[in-house]
Amino acid sequence: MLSKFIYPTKKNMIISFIVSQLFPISVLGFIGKLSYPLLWISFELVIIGALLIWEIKPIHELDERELTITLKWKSRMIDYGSSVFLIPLVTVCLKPEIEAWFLYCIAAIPAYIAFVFCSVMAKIELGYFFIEEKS
Amino acid sequence: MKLQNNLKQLRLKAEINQTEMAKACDVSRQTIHAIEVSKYTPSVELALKIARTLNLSVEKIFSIK
Repeated sequence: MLSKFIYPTKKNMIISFIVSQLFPISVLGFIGKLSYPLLWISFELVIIGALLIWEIKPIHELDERELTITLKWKSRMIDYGSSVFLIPLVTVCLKPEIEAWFLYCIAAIPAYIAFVFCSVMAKIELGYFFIEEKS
Repeated sequence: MKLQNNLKQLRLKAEINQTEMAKACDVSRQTIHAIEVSKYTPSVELALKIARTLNLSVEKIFSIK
């Protein structure tokens, strides 16, 4: 399959951030809540999270150290991401009358946070966020 | 036992910067930095590549304390 990796350069990040604003505009516009700041903030957090999980390099370009760190954080991502699904399971056991959308929220939000957290931690450990001494 | 190295001194002596060293060894610059500050232990293959780039033996760059 022919695929081209798009690198997260500053320009690409800014373009993506601006283009992604169409998402909250269309959703909030559709439900008629364009002027709700809290909803805007939550959408912006999701967009920033999505930009933070953008892979710096395609997997075949990673060297041995980068692969080790990436695998370590990907495995933690699976651990944390899968464990948060216990929250809706326990909730539905204790309170079976609970609504599905609420169950979805209490599983999806922590899973997304775990996903973003592990991606950011991997990038910090890889040295992509805080450029270290160059000599 | 801890792996030590004097890669930074040898690299500076050879007048090679991290980017050039990284390119020669086919790794990222961050990996070279991580090895220099002993945050990462390279594989045998990478250690040999580093030694070849500096024209030295592996023992002269890496040692166990």
